[in-house]
Amino acid sequence: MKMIGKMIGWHWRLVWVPFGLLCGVYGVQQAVLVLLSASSKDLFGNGLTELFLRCGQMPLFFVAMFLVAVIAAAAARSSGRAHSLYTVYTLPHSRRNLPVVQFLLCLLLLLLFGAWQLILYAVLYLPVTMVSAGVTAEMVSVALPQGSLLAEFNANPLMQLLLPVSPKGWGGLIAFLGVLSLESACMACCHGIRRVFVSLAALVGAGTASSTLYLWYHLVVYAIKSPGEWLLLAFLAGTAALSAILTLFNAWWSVKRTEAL
Amino acid sequence: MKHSKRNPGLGLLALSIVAVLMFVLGTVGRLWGLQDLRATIQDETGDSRFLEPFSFTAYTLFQAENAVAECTLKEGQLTGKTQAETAMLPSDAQLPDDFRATNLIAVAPEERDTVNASVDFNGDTAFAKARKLWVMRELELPDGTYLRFHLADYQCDTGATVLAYPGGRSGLDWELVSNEYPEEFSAWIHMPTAEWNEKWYIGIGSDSTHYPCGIWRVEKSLTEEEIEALPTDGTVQYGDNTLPVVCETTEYGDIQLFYQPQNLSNILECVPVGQFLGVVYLDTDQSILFDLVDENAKCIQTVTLLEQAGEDPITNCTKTQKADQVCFSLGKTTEGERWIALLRADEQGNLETILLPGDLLQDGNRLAGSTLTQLSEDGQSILFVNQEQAQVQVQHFEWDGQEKCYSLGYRMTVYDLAQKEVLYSGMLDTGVEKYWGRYLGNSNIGFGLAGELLTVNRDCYTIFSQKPQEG
Repeated sequence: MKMIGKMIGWHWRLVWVPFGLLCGVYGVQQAVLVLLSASSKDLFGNGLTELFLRCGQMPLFFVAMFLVAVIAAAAARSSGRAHSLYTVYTLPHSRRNLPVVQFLLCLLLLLLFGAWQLILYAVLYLPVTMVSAGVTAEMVSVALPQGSLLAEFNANPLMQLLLPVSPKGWGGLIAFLGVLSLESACMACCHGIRRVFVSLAALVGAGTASSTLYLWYHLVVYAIKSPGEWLLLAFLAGTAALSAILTLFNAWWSVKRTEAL
Repeated sequence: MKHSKRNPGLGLLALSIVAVLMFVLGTVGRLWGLQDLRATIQDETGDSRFLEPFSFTAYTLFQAENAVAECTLKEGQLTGKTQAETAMLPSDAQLPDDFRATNLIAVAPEERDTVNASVDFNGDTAFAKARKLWVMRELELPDGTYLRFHLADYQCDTGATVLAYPGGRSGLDWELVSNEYPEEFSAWIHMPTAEWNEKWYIGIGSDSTHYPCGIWRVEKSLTEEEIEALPTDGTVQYGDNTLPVVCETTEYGDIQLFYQPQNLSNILECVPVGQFLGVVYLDTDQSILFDLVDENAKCIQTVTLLEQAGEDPITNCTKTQKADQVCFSLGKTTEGERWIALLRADEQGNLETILLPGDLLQDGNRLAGSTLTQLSEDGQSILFVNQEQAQVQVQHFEWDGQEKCYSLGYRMTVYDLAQKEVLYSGMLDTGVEKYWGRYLGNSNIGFGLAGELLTVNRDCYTIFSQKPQEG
C-alpha cells in the first residue's frame, strides 16, 4: 500500500501541469461563455442554470472528464521530469501495482475535476446574477425574481448528477467514475499500437458510460410510462452492456499485457 | 544529486480532501435547497386562526429541480414535504383522464348509395357530396373503452363535402371534412360527465334529437379490439374498387336513461355530492336549477341557482376538495356578471345552499374564478383560493408587443357569511412565483433528450389535489 501511495504521488507530479492546464482552460471558457450569454438580451430572464446549459457546458464537462482520464493515463508514459521518472523507474514494485495506481490516480483526478466544476459554478453565480439583472433592468420595469445559489444548484441537471441525494444516485455516479478510471488504467498499461486500440475502446466505453448515466437518471426521475419508454429502456440496457463489455475486456486484456515501465 | 524526501502525494491528498469536502457541502446545500421549495403563507390581514376550519392539499411540480413539493393546510397550519429525484406527481394530484367526447358527422345510411355513385377518386382519397348526414357522438372513457351513438341529423341542402380513404388512422368510411362542421355540432365539445358509484354518467343535452335530454348511465362500452372485430355493414367506392367498411353511423356500446329533471331544457353539469348525484340543468324558464338525486334516480331536493340565466349560460365547476361539497361559477354570458353557488349535502340528503355574487369583494368577478372554494365545517365561513397574476411589458422584442402574465401566488380569503366581511387574507406561495422570468426570453432550443443537454424545462406549476377529502 505504501508503495502504491508513493507511486500515486509521483505520477501526480507528472500530470499536475497538464491537469492544471485543463482545469484552467475549462474554467476560462465556461466563465467567458456563460457571462457573454448573460449579457445577451435574447437570453434575458434565464438564470445561471439555463445559461450554463445553453453554452453546451454539460456535454463539455463529460468530454473534459474523458480528457482527465487520458491525462492520468499519460503519467505512465511521460517523458518529462527526468528526475521523477528516474525515481519511479528505480522504485521496486510489482507489475500489478501499475493498474491499481493508475486507477486510483484517475479516480482522484476525476474527483478534483468534479469539485472544480462545483466551485466554478458557485463562483459564477454572483457575476452572472449581476450581469443578468443589469440586462433585465433595461427591458422590463419590474424586478424579476432571482433564484438563490442553492436553487441554481438544484435546477441544474449536471449538478443533480454530481450531487445525488439518494443512494441510487450515488451508486450511479460512483459506477461512472469507476468505469472512467478503469479505462484510464487500461490505457496506461499498454504502449505502442496496442495502446491505440485500447484508447479507442476506452473512448467508446467512456462515452457509453456517460450516456448510460444520463439515460438512467432520465428514466429514474421521469418514470413515465410512455409508448417510447421501452425504446429508452432498450437503449439504456444496450449502452450499459456495451460499456460493461468494453471496459471489462479492456481491463482483462490490458492487465494481462501489463508491461514494466 | 540531492533527493527531496518530501512525499509528492501530500499535495494530491490535501486537494482530494478539499474535493471531498466540496462534494459533501454541495450535497448538504442541495438538500437544504430542496427544503426551501416548500410552500409558505404570508398573512396580510386578519387572524390566521380563521383558517382552522379549512383543509386542502396542493402539489407543486418543479420540472427543473425534478422535485415535487406537497403542502397541506390543516387546523390552520401549513405542513409540507419535498420529494426529490422525481418528475411525476402523485396519483391523486394528476389531472384525471378526461371523458373525451367528440362529434363525428357521417353520411346517413339512406344517402350512401347516392354518395358512392358520385365519387371523385384521386388515387388516394375519395371525395363526394352528401345532403343527409348523421351526427354521431363518440365517447372515450378513462378506462380506454368507447361508445358511439346517433345524436342528431344534419341536413345540408347545398351538399356538404365528405371524404374517405382506404388507409390511415381515421378509418375507411365517409366523413364530413373538418372545415365544414357546422357551429352547432363542432367536433370538440364539453359533455357533463361524472363517475358515481363505480359507473359513468353522462349528460345528453338539447343538441340531441335521438336521445332525450337527461342523465344517462353507461351500461356497456367497447374496447379497441372489440370495435375492430365489428362486422362490416357498408361499402365505400374507390374508383373501380368497392371496399367493405364498418359504417361511421353504426352505434356501439349501451347507455340507459337514468334521470330526467322536470321541465328540462338542457343539462349543464353532473357531479357526485357525497353519496348523491348533483344535476345542474336549465329549465324551460331559462333558470339554472340543481337536483340532488339518489341511486334510485329519485330527486331528493331541488334548488334554484340562477333565474333568467338565458339560453346558453355559463356553469363552471370549482374544486372544493370535499366529497360532500360542490361549487359552481354561474353566469349568463362569458363576459358578464358571475355568481357562486356552493352546495353541501349530508347523509340524509339535506342540502345546504349558499349563493353569493362573484364580485363579493368589489374587485370584479375574481372569486367566481377561484382555484378552490370550500365551506367551513360549521357552515359559517367560506375559503376562496385564487391565483393572482400581474402583467409585464417587455421592451426588446419588436414583434411581441403583448404584455406577459405572471403568477404572484395564491390569495386565500376567508369570508364570514353572517357578518358579510373578510376575516382573513393572505398569500400562499407555492413556488410558481419564483420562476416566471424564464418565460420572457427567447424560446428553448433543442428537443428531446439531446435538447435536455442544452436547455432545461423550468416549468413549475401547482395543482390542487383532485381527490376530495371525506367531508
